Amino acid sequence: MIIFYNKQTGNIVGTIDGRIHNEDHLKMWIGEAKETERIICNWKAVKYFNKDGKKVTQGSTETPAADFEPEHSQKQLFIDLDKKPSLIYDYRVDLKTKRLVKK
Amino acid sequence: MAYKLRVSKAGFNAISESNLNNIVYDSDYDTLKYYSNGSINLPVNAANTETTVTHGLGYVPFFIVYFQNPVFTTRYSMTPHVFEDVSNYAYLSAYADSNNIYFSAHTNSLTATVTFLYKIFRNNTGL
Repeated sequence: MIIFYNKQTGNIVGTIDGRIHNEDHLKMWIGEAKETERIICNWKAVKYFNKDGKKVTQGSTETPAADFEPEHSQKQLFIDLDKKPSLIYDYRVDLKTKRLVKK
Repeated sequence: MAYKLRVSKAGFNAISESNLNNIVYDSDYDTLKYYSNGSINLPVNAANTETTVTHGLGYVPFFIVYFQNPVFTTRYSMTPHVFEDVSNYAYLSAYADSNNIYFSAHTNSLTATVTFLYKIFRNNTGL
C-alpha cells in the first residue's frame, strides 16, 4: 500500500492499494505534490514453497509460491489494512515519526 | 501459423464454440488490463472542490470510480451521482485526462468527507 498524507496535518488524503508496487505505481501521485507526501509499504517474500507445497530455501530453482509479509515496522497494521483498506481513514500520520497513529 | 488462447465455460467446446457468450476468454479480443486501484478522501465544505490521482499513463485510460455514501456508509455508488432537493445539491463526479484522474464535488451545501474508490486500467480509451 502507498499512503498519501497532508504534509502539514498528517491527514490521509488517499491510497494506492496492493502488496507490491512497481515503477508504474511509484510514478503515481495523489493530491498536490507540494501539499502531500507518501509512505510506501511493499510486501516481501519470507517463506518459499515448491510446487508440492513443501517449504524450500530462497534461491531454490523450484519456488513457484511464497508467503509474503509487509516490510514495515508497523507490520501487523499493514496486514490489517491489506484485509480492509478503508481502515486507513481511522489513522493519521505522526509527522515526527512518520508512523500511522489512531485519530 | 498463428496461435490464440481461448477458454470456454464449463460444458462448451473451446475450439468449436461460435457463441462468444459461452467463451470466458479469447485472445482475439481485448480485455481490461489492471493498472492500479485505491481510495481518495475529499473533504467537502459546502463549496466546489476537487483532488487528483496522477496516473502518468500519457493517455486517457479506462477507469471506474465509486463513492461511499457519507450518510449511509454501507452504500457505494458509481460516479457521477447527484444528491438534490429543492434548494441543495451535490454532484460527485470523476473525469480524466492523459495524466490525471480528477475527483470532483460540486455543491452548495454538502459538508462531509467523501471517500472515492477508484480502479484504473491500462486500456487506452483513445479520447
